Amino acid sequence: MNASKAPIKNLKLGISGTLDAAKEFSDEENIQSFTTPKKGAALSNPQVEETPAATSEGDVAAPGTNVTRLPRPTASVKSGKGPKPAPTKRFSVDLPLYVFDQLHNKVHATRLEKKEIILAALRDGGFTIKDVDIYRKGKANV
Amino acid sequence: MSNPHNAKFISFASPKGGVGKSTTCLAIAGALLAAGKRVRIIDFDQTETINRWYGDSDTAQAIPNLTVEKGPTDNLKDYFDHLWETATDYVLIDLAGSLSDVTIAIASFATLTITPAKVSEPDIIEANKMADKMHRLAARIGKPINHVILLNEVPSSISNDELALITQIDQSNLRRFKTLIHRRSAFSKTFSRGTLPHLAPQQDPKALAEIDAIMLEVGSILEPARQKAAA
Repeated sequence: MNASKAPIKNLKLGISGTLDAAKEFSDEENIQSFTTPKKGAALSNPQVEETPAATSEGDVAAPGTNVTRLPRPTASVKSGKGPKPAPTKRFSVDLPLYVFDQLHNKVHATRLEKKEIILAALRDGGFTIKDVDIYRKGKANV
Repeated sequence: MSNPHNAKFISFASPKGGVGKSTTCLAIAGALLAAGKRVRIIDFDQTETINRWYGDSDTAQAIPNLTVEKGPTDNLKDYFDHLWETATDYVLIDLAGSLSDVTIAIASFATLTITPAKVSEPDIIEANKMADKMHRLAARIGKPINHVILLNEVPSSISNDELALITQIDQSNLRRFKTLIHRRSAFSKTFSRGTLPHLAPQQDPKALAEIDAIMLEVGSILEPARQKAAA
């Protein structure tokens, strides 16, 4: 018997499915997104599209409650094709104050994020870091 | 649904700020640490209350078996996936005082979500809103969510109006810890002195008794969850 073997099922283990359902739930319930839109993103980032604020039946407060609804995010970022950023791990360090001041000034001068400046400097110092892990989507490699 | 290392995720969430999420989170962290557990706190609150508490205090940083980190603001799904796969022991997640997609995502996999509330109408209305979201989220994802309200900062002399509010909670289908956390200096000292009630040099027995009673209730919630996961 030489029947081709059925491929092994790719099981969706872990919490990915649950997180997807939670995300759908958040969208349906018009729950605000935690991720803060980048400053000026709606004006300068071509990947941002405007979506009108909307209300749904779920927005109606129950009688007797004085619930202020959070506004629906007014912009969403299209998920573009291409390489995905690598998973990250949060890591905090104490910087000398004068270094922090320089970093702060550089943020203002370049309009890059601190993370972008630090990762770019690490790459200049010989670390292997991909562009996709340094710069925000749509942000030019400065 | 069990994670690989059987970590227990306890999130502190409320649509409203100033209800005592960070204070409660740290009080429970202290009780776990005093019991010899390892605790990792992830601070998702933009105010960074716990992150600052830890970063500003040598006393806090010297506490063994405690790590504190700031939660990320992007690549959250990857972060949660990784957290689920790698976390061990107790992971306490302090959330911002708002209802966001992060609150919902964390509640979807947390072993227990605690919503602290003062015995006041605005806090209880918001806790009720949170409970409602959790109920609907549970229906959506097809698994039960352990969501419990914790009444805190209860004054030593409780008024008739406050008693009436507690009665209303008990007559509703809202789930709350039976133990009330009273307003005590031991809790405010967490921030003014960088200590935790269970690890403070001068301990307040009444505060410890309340937290211990809460921990018993927490244990009874986490234990069935573990047994179901093992089954």
